[in-house]
Amino acid sequence: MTQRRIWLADHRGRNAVVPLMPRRRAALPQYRDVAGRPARFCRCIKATAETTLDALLHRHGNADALARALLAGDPELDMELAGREAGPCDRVYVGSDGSPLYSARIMEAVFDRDGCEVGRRPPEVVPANLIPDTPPVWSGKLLPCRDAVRRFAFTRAYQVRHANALEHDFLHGVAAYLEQLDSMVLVGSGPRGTGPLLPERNALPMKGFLAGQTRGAAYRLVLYLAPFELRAPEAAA
Amino acid sequence: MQRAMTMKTITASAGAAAYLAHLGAAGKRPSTLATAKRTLALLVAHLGADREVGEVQVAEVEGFLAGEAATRQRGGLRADSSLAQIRRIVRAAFTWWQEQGYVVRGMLPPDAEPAHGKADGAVAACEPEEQAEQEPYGTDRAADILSAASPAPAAPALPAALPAAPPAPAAAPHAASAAPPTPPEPTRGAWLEVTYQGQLARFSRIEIDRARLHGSRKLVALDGEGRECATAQLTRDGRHVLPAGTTADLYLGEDGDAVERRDLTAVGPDGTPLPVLEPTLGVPQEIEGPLPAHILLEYLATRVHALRAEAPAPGLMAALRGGAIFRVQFRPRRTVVETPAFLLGSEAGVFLVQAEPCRFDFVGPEQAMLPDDSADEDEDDLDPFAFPDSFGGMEP
Repeated sequence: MTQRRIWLADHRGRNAVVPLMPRRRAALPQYRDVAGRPARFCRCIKATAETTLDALLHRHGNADALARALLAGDPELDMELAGREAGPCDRVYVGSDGSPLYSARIMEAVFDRDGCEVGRRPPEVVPANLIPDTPPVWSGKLLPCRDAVRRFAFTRAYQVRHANALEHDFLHGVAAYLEQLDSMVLVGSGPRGTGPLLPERNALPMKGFLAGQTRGAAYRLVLYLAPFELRAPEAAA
Repeated sequence: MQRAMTMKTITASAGAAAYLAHLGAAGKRPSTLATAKRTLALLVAHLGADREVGEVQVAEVEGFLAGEAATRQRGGLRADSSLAQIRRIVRAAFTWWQEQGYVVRGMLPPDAEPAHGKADGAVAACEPEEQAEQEPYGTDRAADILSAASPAPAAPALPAALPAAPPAPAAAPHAASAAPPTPPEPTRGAWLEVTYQGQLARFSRIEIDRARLHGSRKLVALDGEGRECATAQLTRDGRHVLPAGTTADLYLGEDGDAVERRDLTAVGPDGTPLPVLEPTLGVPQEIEGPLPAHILLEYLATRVHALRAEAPAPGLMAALRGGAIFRVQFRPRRTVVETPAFLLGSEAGVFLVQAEPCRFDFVGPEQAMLPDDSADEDEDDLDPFAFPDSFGGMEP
């Protein structure tokens, strides 16, 4: 997998492209049966496109004929497939007749806060902007940590790491500066460094904040991403 | 057949609003609420805003479900999944109105009940399946998945058994209630009860996310005729198409037999059984804190709820307004994975944040993050000072 990187600027006018490390997720629990033997998750096939109710109705013509067929046999079961593991599958689009489409026209539907569709348009491809075309700018927008955590919902985070000694010095300096001020700094795009961050192509625009701590020569610098502020839905209207 | 008397009356528009309020209080997702709102708006427009739901006849509902408003959208036909969804929402709304007493109990046939047996279970089937969480505990998730995965019935819609109401209900001794209906009480799961310094505080909660606050976008696929396409799974051998509802999730033992969820035991990496944590809903939880604000930087939010104080505790509210952060036990269902939750307040209100730990460590100078592509081991055997020849090999 390609390593994610970001071009950061610091308060001293320096900048560097540094790697981002995602967080480590806890291992999912495993399951055992009553005998203590491992049990594994499985997705099995119950029916296919040929044995759904719509397909059976289409084949038999009407509900009465289908009912007679159900009484006489098991047309809803494919004995070769029922219970078989589905295994890894590919996602496809199907038309109104249930057959896969070889091409489909993709549109982007836009919904308002109430979930009502307000329009449709061809989708736009918005590239990621962690590494812009021009050097980034230190925004200088500092927010105390105690205010930032109560104002934004941080749903994603990456640890900013160094890949060489120069980057270590650079990042350690940023972390020490932020720790001294007990603040988080807004990291963003645009000429003032306050625009939204897009971690990947077509991502939700997010507010990025850096927070840092140091322990001697060691440091911990984390980029927090917030897709929305903490506020009540009525206040958003 | 004489129509039985309704216990209460409510107009279609008010009934739709009350049902939507019930869904919101039950913690349904914004997308679910939006879908139900759109569908009920169509139904109300068809029936008339001032029409009493207790007087709606079977033919009217059938006419709506077969009419243009329910079957067509933007000049094209709705997909079958959309038609089934509209049918489910209408059924669920009538079922809930029945439970509230706006429609006499027993007037709805059994097939009007959602498959789950819950008033809003049919709407819940519209929600995207959370298949990433393979959590066996809770509200019998296997049964929910299996029943939700059942093919949507294409049976004719609602209530064949609803007796035709007389055109003019002259003999209607039910109380003609002119007062607007009171909003239903939030369901048990929509409350958060905490105790702080001996004081009990009760909050109603609404889940918030970016879509709820700023709107959302979604990619839709259209076929050649402009109709929305449904998605399905295609097996890797390319031989079988599996539409929604044709698969079942279960656990298999080593011998290949299915294992009931109640017989499963969660174990950790070392094989020791994990303790089962009971749900906290309906039980007042003692909150822990106040905690330093930096504690939240050790976690990431997974779900956020906006809280409204229904029975506020003055001491707690004062602390929250002052910026205090508290930890609270919050588990909507039985689980073996502890996910902490934090109670915090700001100028914008009071919020409950369910979180997961970040698990970031301090790094020293020697812990450089190496790139993914490692060096070719064969290069170690070459003379580091040799120059490559014109063919890319190394000259002796």
